[in-house]
Amino acid sequence: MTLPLQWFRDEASRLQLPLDEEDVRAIAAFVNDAREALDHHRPRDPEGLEPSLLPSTDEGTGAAG
Amino acid sequence: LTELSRLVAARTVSPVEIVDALLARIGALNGSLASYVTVCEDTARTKAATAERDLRAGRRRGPLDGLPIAHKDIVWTKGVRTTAHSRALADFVPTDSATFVDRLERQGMILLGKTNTGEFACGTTDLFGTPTNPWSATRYTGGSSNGSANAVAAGLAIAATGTDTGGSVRVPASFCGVVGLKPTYGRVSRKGVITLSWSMDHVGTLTRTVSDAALLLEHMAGYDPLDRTSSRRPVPSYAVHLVDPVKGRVIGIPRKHFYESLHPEVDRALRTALNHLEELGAHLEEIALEGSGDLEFVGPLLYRVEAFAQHARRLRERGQDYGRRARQKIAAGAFFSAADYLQATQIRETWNRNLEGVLRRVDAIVTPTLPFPAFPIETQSAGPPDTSWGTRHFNLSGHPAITVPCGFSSDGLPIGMQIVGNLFDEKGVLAIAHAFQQMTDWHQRRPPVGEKVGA
Repeated sequence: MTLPLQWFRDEASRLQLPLDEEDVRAIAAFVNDAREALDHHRPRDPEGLEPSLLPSTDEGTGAAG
Repeated sequence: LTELSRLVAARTVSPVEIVDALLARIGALNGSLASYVTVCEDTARTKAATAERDLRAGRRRGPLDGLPIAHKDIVWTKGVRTTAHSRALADFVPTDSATFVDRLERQGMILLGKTNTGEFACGTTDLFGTPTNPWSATRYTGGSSNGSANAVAAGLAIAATGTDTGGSVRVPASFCGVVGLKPTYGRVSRKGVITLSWSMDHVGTLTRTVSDAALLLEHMAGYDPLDRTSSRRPVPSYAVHLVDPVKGRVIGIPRKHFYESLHPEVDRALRTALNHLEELGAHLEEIALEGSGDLEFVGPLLYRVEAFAQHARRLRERGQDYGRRARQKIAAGAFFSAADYLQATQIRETWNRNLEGVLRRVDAIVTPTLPFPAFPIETQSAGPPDTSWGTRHFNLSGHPAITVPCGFSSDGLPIGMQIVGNLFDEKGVLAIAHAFQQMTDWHQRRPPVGEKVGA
């Protein structure tokens, strides 16, 4: 779902981020593209999926991954 | 480093002579190359003189004693301005050094200066000038450790450190024709490194040779109680393992994604390099790395969210002190939901699991570092190609990766080969890279800058 430009303007204002229109447009383009790419990976039926987010260790991979 | 260390030990060359020669090159060339943001001329000369006196008196702390190093200007250096190339930190002078900086200083290394970087490792270089590519001033240098890369390539530093969140050591190293090492996540402490992405930032090295990278890593690595992500695993002697045989090692070649749509001269250079690895006795095996093409947005999304979490307060208060590109990238992290971040994390985990599965069957993976040689600077300004195309995968997973020069394009631009190993198998990665350098001379070529200034 593409988020409208006004949503970005409103969020920037709510979060008190000092962004101008050029910033907001660039951010909206990036965020919408990334969310669209994520959509291809979102599970259609979440039931029965294997749990993710393994307990973190200090060995090798970032704790988030 | 390795060679100079021997010469210093033999008293053939002195630390003062080395520092003087480098400062002369910096004085003559930094104006055009923009390698350094800050040059520590006086303290470097003083420390070199002290090192020389100690050496004459028979006191030597180790192989790095009296040798100069440059640190990326995103790394805290006690008493020396650390700007991250941002107006927001233009006057910041840390009261402590990063843990790995301390470790190198305890070995007697001399801080030569702070090298240029993209703002907060993700923005532009508008404030202190843009590092130019010593092989062609019209070509992009890569980022964000671009000052470290061009300084080492052009002989304004013997060795330098950098940070790598999506390829920021390996990409400029490849474009500038030097060796860039990103060790395993947790191998080098990040205490005192200005954070971009806590789960993907790595500290690495930029050097002319693989043996120099091994020597530096050995003295930078190790557990740090001040960085809870640092590993307690013992640090092996990487220099000793450099000559471990390549014969019999299985090297995975992931054709999909990593060998698709290559610039023809990159393709040719990699084919020749793979032949060399076979001549060294390695067995090449085609492998499938599932999901390698799905990560284009995963790394950039994760680091933006993590960077915003880090910068939120200052960005609100001093947003206009950030350059436009850094401000846009970091602020973008505020517009993703927790579900977006977790969804990206799940894709990351799937990738990590696939990669770990493959690396149980092979000893290393070899890819091009980039699919093209350095492109014209105006291309970067207009809308850059994806320079993390072959590198971000191993920031997401944390695996060690090195780039070594493996050829040149017909117009004289360096081409890099990336070698990736199992977690904490830096010694395996370094051994393959070292053997490759021993049978090639790509790393011995010098860019056409400052030939009259001296070495």
